Amino acid sequence: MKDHSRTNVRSDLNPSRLLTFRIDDRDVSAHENESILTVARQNGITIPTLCHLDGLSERGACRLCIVEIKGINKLLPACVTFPRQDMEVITASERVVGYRKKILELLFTERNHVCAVCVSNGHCELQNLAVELGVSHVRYPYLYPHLAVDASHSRFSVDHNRCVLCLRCVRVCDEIEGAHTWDIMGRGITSQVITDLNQPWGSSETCTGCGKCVQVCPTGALSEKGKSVAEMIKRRQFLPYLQMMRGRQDTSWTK
Amino acid sequence: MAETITIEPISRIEGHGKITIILDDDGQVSDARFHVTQFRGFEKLCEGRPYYEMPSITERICGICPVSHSLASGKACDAVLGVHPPETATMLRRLLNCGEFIQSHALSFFYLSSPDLLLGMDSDPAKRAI
Amino acid sequence: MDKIALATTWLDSCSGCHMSLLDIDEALIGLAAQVEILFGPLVDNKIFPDHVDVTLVEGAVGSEADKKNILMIRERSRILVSFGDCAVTANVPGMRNRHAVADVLARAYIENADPAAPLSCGAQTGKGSIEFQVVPALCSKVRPVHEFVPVDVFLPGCPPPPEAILYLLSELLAGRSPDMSGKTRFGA
Repeated sequence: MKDHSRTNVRSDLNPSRLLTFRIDDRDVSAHENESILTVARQNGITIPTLCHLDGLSERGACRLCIVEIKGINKLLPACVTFPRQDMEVITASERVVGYRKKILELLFTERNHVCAVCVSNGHCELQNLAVELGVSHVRYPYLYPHLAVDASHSRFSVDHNRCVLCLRCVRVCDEIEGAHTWDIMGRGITSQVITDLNQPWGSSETCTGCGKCVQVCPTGALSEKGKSVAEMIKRRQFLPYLQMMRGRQDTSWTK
Repeated sequence: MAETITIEPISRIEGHGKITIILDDDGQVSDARFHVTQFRGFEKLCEGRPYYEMPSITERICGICPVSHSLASGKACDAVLGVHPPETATMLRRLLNCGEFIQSHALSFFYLSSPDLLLGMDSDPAKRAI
Repeated sequence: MDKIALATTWLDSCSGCHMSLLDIDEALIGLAAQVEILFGPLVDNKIFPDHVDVTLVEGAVGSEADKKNILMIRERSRILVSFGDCAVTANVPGMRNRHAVADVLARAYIENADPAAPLSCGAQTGKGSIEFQVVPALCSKVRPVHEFVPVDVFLPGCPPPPEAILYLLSELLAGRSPDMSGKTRFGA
């Protein structure tokens, strides 16, 4: 278990480690271990996310949950930023919303997202985000990379053309299943999720075939074989329970 | 004298086309050609995709007859897997196909052919618009 | 009230969006009273008029002819609508971008050709190369319309639902800028 010795609260003066701050001009309270995203959700404030999933550790990979914090120039991701006393957070300023749209559009350009013929058409978190943020077209040129489909596994297949590198598959396989079959290779735009040491999924020695990665994947990148277009509906109700049963509260794969 | 007449674009068809008629020196038709001026390459773009996506991808070949392409693709998938769909499925496919006949024939007649057939081939094109 | 000059066209697409347009059914009659379709696959004019109020452009830009046409259409249209996923994102025609144009053509015209049958122009099929003589040359990559010309309204969907199309046209006819949020999405 990690030791979150934060210095934003002096435990001798504040043994309960609670603090108060403001989100969108509303006073909220939080434990020092709760991220801005958690606190916002507790108070009914929606912040769009993609790589976040209840039941998995936070990663801050997608940067869609960025918020403005008064006094700080950088926009910070709410899921991995922890509040300080009297912090002022703005979740939906014009600047923030503008950047969120740009990030989403860049996600669309990076890979080949052909919604019309995708297994997750209609059940896709990327699509839902486009609707939520009002993205009707992408202003940046598409890259059209040449990426493969690995259908070597007997029950599942991975289509790298649809991956958004949220790394939920990596996290769930490591934290919940414990096999750590998935990891990433490459850097920047050449990053790709891989099984074992970039070997075909079907020949993986570590994969248990549990299918959790398929269920947590937000897009149609990971899917069950045989599901045709628009048929891949994910089930992730099990996740918070599994996380609880495993006894993990606040671990992170990278920290 | 030799002349080439080009008719472009061909209107009221699905897709793109062009016709060139070559007249010889006597003004007689020596050759007539039909060119299809659009090519999307479905044969190649489908490569590398899982077979169960094919019915959806091939549907995008044509917007008026997507059902035919989807059914043909479905039958190809059956052949690939070596299976026979149950009788109900076959009947449903037939029903779907018949539905498409009704839609496609009605569309083809009412929107694409009837302005020319009912108003006459030589009538004013402006009046023959939808 | 004067009729609005409408034009429609399809570039590299399947015409499904036009079918969705026709799927507005009875509303077409009301629409026909308010618009005049001056050019398009549904009417018989060969020349794009000098000035149109609204042009619905379906399909991505995949050949040199498409490129030429879209530039001409943009010049002559007051409002240009990217109609459907192919025009907005290149969609399925864009799936050929992974391959070189020569490979795409070879697959269809050379590898799948019947070797015994001679071509009508007298040449033999085989591992020959393909030249563009009368038909327009294919672009190396199929790209969405807005990468070539500025677009005024985007209408994603494959195809966009008829209700969304009707809403778009009604708003444009009323002189308003349509707010398409929630009415359609990529892959609708």
